[in-house]
Amino acid sequence: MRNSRRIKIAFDMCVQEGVKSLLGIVVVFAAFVMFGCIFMLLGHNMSYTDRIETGLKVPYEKVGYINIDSMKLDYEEEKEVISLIQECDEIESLGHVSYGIQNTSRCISFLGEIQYGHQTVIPDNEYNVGEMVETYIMSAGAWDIMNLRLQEGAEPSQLEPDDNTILLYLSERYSGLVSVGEHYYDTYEDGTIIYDYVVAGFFSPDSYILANGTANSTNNLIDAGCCSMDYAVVEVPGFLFNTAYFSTKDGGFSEVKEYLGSIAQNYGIDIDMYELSSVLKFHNDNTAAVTKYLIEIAVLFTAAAVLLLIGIQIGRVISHAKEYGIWLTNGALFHDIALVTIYQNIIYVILPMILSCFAVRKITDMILLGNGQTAGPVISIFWEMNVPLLTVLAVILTAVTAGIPIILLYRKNAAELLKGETAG
Amino acid sequence: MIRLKNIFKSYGSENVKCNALKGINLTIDTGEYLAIMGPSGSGKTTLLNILGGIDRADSGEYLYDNLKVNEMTNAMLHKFRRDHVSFVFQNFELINYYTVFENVEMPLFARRMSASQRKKKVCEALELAGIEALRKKLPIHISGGERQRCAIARALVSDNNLLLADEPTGALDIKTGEGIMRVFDNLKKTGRTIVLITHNPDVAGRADRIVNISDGNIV
Ligand SMILES: Nc1ncnc2c1ncn2[C@@H]1O[C@H](COP(=O)(O)OP(=O)(O)O)[C@@H](O)[C@H]1O
Ligand SMILES: [Mg+2]
Repeated sequence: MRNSRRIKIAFDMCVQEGVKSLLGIVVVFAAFVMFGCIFMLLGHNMSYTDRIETGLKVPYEKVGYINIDSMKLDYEEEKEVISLIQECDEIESLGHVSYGIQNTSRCISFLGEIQYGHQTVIPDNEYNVGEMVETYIMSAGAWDIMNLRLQEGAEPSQLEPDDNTILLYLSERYSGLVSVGEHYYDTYEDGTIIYDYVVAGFFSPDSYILANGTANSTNNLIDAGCCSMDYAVVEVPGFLFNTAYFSTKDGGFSEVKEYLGSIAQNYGIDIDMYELSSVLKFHNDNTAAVTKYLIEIAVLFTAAAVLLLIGIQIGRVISHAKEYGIWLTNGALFHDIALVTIYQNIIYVILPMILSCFAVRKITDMILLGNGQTAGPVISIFWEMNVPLLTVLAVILTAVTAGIPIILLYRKNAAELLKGETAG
Repeated sequence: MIRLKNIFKSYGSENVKCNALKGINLTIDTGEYLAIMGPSGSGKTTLLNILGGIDRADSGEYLYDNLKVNEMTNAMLHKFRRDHVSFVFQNFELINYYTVFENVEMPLFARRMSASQRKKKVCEALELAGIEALRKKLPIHISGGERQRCAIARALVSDNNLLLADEPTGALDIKTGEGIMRVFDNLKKTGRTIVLITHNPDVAGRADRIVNISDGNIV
């Protein structure tokens, strides 16, 4: 018998069952969607460190965060404090990032047309398309710490902007609207220039930074880890900042702390410092319980679903025993009907598994991706963990749900099968 | 030529054993039309199943031409059946969701044939069985006699030499059965070896020879 014929026979048996087949496929599909979602959650939960690393150019063990309580300082003192901090031997780079800045400058608000619906912080129902653009404000040092990569233009450290110049770095999505070197002037009514926005570069799509709020306390459970620059507009002004990420040369956080402590004492202020690795440890310790719970659910659910599916499939083959008997008395060999059984199981298991991957991907989009900022790392969980796991599961399931019935069929002769006997 | 020597077959376990065949010796010539008669439960079906290779004897020798069927592995037995035997059953054993044409076509998938070659063969078989007009119908939409003709067409489409029929008219009224038996008469002319089980002496009377079985023995 030709293979195409065996497939046709398997297919005919499925079609003949009509609603029952469809129901079977739906049950398997639902089970795989559940598997997929549990795997995705598990993968997401276990990959926080990966996401953190995705946001960084340097190892996370070397990264920290400082928060200067600058209320008591005047402008000149603040400037001094920052340059003192920068002089610390152990600090390699110091980079500021503020998230979710609402920039309403008329001259660049047209960028909002592309960004609308993809802001990371500001809800899109709070303003109309083109009224404003959500920006990040960064200092040049951010390029040394965050995973920022340009596909066009120059990094801020290579440029020497004037005091009222603001460098703009954008996602390549905006490259149709603006190009490197263009100026956009924010002016008073009389025409005097407040800010001169100059387009300085476009990010490549693999650019990420640490997510908002990741490091500014040791005990937070912000889950994103990183965010992409997919719809980002970044402003780099010449300015002072009171918070910053920093990277150390050799992870000498105690030296940095001591150094910051002496500055704080001299100026009578507080300077808080956090190590990213303690943030990570806190996060991972806290999610360990959830992860364990998810693994337990996954194992239990898999076992239950596999048993159920095996039951359904064996029932199916038993109900077709007579047809197999008819085929065996009309020119089919045993390996023909064994293969028919396997193809049937492929229709009932592999097909819904493939469909479930699409569904899980869609659900991932809705639940885990949110505004798309952590899409990259999450999608890699989907391809690197979810799809292979579901495939392995489907193959094992097919092997078992086809294997057991084939053994049952093999133990009976055609005369018994014709009478509809399989079990016992 | 078929030769059965001292065939034994029992069903059930040690304590509830049912001896269905108790030392059957039987020779059937190629091209012979043989009728088997006997009371219910005497072992006729068991004998036919062993002849057709869909069941195995517990002991004894089964020679088909020079093939030692009783010594075959399962895989060889499947091939033996595919290449030599056709079946007609009392309750037809058609696939209900296949049309008459598709049911008759089934045995041809084992042969390397093109769709048009298959079509030609199926049409010939349908003609021999007298049901060309029903080729597009499903078994549930035709009468019992027509279903049996469909089963016969399926049995003869493959050109296998041994045709086994287990009470082919058992489920049909006398007049319809008569029509079916005429088809068998025609089949006889194709040179096939036919072994047919029946309760009906008129049906048996059409065969070349009648063998009577009682309680697992030929009498
Ligand atoms: N699968 C089976 N399991 C147990 N006993 C069987 C089985 N098939 C047949 N028998 C028994 O074997 C004997 C012969 O059966 P069978 O060959 O079907 O007789 P017949 O076809 O002449 O009516 C009967 O007593 C029957 O009850
Ligand atoms: Mg019988």
